[in-house]
Amino acid sequence: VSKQDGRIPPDAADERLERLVNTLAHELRTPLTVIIGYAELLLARDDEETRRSAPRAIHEAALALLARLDELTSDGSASARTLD
Amino acid sequence: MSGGEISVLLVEDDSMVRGWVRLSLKGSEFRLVGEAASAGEAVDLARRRRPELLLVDYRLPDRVGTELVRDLRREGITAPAVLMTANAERGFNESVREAGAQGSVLKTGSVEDLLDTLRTVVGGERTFDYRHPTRSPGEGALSPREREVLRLVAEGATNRQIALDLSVGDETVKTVLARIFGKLGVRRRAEAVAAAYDRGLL
Repeated sequence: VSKQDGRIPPDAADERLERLVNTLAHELRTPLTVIIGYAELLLARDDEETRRSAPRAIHEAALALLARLDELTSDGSASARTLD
Repeated sequence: MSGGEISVLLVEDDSMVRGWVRLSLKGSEFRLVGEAASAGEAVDLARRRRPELLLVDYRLPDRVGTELVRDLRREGITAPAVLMTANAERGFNESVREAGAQGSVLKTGSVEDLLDTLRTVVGGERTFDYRHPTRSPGEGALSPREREVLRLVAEGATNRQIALDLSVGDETVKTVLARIFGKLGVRRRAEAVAAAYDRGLL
């Protein structure tokens, strides 16, 4: 932080923004990866365990994704809109 | 452990990802002998169960995965380690190498990517996910499968011909080629062949 005016120097601000974006991307990618991964297993396999567990896991991961998106908004409006 | 199975310790704090990995490894030669949600748990489990392979998430609640690998190496646990992460991150592969791990794989939900990486590492090779931007393009060596594909490209084979020759899907050939391009820092097949020859990789 600059001693003169309290503002963050441009380079430091860029780094902080990059770190923030990376963290957000990681938070959103993880449940998305789970959804894709289970969907791929469902498409590729025909065993009972996959048929039984994958839809539940996809549902759980989709809800987790929605919850994380909600955390990014101040009033949870993303969830409210989706469930309308 | 029964014959032919490879024991794996999974270190991943997200229970959904752990479930996906567990199901993905079902029916393969890999058998989970432990699941840890933190680096602390992982050290304890690794000491007790002595897995033959470590599959480690990078972002753990108490330590990053590369630090965990360093700790395990200091404990005398020499099993090959593969680091996973959700984001492609510049310099990630270099960090993984420096920590003493043998591979990296981006968590994309691809079972094929995951198994291919584990098999390569268990086979004694190193493999680092090409999607992580490297500090020095072309530094990484090609895996046997990548060399095989590139050799066929050099002979003028099409993707379809390579797929038939190696008994794999067209998508696999594309994936391997993309990995080769990433490692060599090139964008075209001819450039890849030339770069590989220049660097003595073929």
